[in-house]
Amino acid sequence: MMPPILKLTNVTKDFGFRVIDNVSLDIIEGERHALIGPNGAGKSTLFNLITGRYHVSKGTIRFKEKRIDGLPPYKVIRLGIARSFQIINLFKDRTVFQNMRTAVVAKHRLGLVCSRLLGRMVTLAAETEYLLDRLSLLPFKDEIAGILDYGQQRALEIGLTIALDPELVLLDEPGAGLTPSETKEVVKLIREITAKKTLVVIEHDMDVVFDLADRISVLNRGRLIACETPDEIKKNSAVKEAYLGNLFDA
Amino acid sequence: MENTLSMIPILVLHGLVYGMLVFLVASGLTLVLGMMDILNFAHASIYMIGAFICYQVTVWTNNFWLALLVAPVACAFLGIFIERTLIRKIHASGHVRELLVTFGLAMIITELVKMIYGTTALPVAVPGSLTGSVRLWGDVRYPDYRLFILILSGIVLAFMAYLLKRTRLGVSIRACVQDGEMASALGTNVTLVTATVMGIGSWLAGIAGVIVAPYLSVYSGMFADMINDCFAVVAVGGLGSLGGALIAALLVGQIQSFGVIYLPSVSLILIYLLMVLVFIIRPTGLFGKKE
Amino acid sequence: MKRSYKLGCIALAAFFMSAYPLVASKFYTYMLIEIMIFATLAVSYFLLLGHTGLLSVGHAAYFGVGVYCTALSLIHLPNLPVPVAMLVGTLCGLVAGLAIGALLLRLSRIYFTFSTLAFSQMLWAIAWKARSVTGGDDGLSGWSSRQISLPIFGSFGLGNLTFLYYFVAVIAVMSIIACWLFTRTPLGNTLSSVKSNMQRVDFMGININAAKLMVFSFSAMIAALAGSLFVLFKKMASPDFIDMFLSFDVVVMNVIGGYTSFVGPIVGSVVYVFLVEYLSSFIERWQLVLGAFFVCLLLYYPGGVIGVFNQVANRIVRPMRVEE
Repeated sequence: MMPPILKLTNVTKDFGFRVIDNVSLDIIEGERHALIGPNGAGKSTLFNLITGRYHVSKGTIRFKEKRIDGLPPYKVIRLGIARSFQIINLFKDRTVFQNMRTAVVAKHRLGLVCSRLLGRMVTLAAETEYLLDRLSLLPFKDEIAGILDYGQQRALEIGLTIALDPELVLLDEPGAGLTPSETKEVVKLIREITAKKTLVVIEHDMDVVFDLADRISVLNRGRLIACETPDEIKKNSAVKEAYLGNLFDA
Repeated sequence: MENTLSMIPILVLHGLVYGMLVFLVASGLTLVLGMMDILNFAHASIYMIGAFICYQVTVWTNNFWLALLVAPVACAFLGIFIERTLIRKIHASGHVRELLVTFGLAMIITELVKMIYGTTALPVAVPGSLTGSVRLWGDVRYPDYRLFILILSGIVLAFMAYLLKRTRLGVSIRACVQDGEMASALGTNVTLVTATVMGIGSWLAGIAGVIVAPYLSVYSGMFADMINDCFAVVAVGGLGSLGGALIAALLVGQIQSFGVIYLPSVSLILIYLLMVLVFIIRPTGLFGKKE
Repeated sequence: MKRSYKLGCIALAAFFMSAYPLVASKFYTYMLIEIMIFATLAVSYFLLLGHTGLLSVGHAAYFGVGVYCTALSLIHLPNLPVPVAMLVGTLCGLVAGLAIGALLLRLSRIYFTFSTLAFSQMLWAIAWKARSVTGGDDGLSGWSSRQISLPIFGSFGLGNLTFLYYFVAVIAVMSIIACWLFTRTPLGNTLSSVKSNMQRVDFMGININAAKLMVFSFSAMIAALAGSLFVLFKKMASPDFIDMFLSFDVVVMNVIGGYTSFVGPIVGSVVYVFLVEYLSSFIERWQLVLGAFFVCLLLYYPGGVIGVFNQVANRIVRPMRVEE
């Protein structure tokens, strides 16, 4: 039995009031894990705790058996975790190309280099364009990112996360605000790019969740109330209660 | 040794006096900072303007008390005027431009003052009724005027505390400092509260300017001297925290007072060392909001 | 602007600058030397504000460190060649940038800004108070008879204006080019991204505090280099070269030219020097006018000269393009 790639043990976060309450969760390497729950349940907070934006009040977080709670975000990312944001968090006044190139440069750990690296810059540019092509954003590479339509910005947002080539991908509501057809595209994209990686995705759209997930965790008021396969979740009465029913009728 | 020991209570009093002066100016600065994220460099200029208005009024009427009445009110109007015109206009264009505008304004005011009054220090007479000194204990005497400063600032402080804790306006102000958006969503007229805070803050700075005039005289370098201590107080105390500003101001006052006597060559630097210390331990100041 | 136009402009400027002292009067040569030194200082500031978004209002500190450290080297180590004294001043600026940056860059935006002023004022206070070392408000002087010996060209006195012009020109141009290249490195790109969205850069695994410290120290070093040139130029050191009004003037130069483009501070320093020269000849309180001009620019023409130029150029170019 392989150790989990990400292990949360008794994680608690207090902001004066308790936001995350004694959550213990194992994420298996290679799985697609969905994190669902009503608004305010603490799902994004959990991502923030994992990526080091907040410090845990109690408990530990281990990535590949190494403790990561307490590390600043940039160190957590360097270990192989990357996240996307629920509210689109691009470099809005820079071009699409510049956005992606920053991620590519970061992936190659060249962010602080102060020489021109003539040869490398060319290969980095090529890699940037390749990635933009996979996202179908290459035609827009010289457009300012803020001008793109929402679906394209979403794609770029996810793209920046994947460009870092992380082992563990955390996607925060990748489908938020998308039309049904755009959602289908995004799901397809997510499948492709997380093929050999571990994925944890926060989503409200249940179609997406059941389509993608190997296992589903349900968070309610900071507590983990279930962590099971999709079929089991459908039958779980506590989960139904949390969502006030109706959610799984389809 | 005996002499220096007996000086200690006097030094503490000196420190209190200066600390309260700085607090009067810094309080307005920290509130506006906490509320609107505006670092208003021009705030210390208003303090200077208050001092110069006091000088002018005493030159014309020889009446210090009139100056004490008129100058702070004029400063309050000036503060509100600046907020309405410049700051309102530039607030939406981002922090960089806003900050540069207030910095530029402060420079302009300093130059204006130099142009009208020159660069030498201008004296303002201590009002007749306060020229004496009071016997504190034994042989120790303390100037009436400085005690007056202490008492006046104490009254102002009490008034501020009452305003903030017991009145509806005070509650609105504290709400806006905590979370402006939320306060607005809950029905508080944030623009009105902001203008009020600017007005009150400027009024306080004006008072400080008037009462410092007989104490340290009036000169064009007042902005530069005050801005350092003001910033130190706001930084050490924490943005938006009046309590923090008070504690920091008292601390700064004591450091200045004792520093000048015991460590004269480095007294100017002690304040910076304090800031360094606080920044290393708590980058948001003693009582500041965490980011 | 098209590449060929840009190169043409640069070639023209290079020719103009090379020939200048041979045709211009002493007065204007003197002025251009001052412009070049200020342009270097202004460009070093651009790296902080225009490029990375770090609003510092205490940049004079590093210029002043360069001034005083070079001056002190010239006075106390008379056997040291002048260029080495300049190097000392420059490295002192680098160290000051590292020390102050390490402390201040971790602070949030507003704290950072007014702390830059505070620490600049601290250094000014030291310059003012430490009379025995810095000469207090009398300042330092005494190296005007020094000579600079260069390998091929021989020795020249600091009083030789033409030589000084070329000496400053070469160093200033090289410094500005260094700053330009800095913005074109991966680090430069990271800093532009930091300006755009600091949090996202953090979440890409880049150590933003390290990045900021690198630009801050580099900028301080270039500012100190400008300061060391200034010391040779003015033949004196004074607390005026480290006070808050100089910090303000550096910002003014950037804003006049347009603080978001690299060329802005260069243009701004030219305008600034001419403006000051012109204003001071008939208004005693020209700083007041300058300050008012500065505030008006911020309110109405934040793009500065470059911004206005772009607007005008677009209006001319666009109708032309449509015709094609």
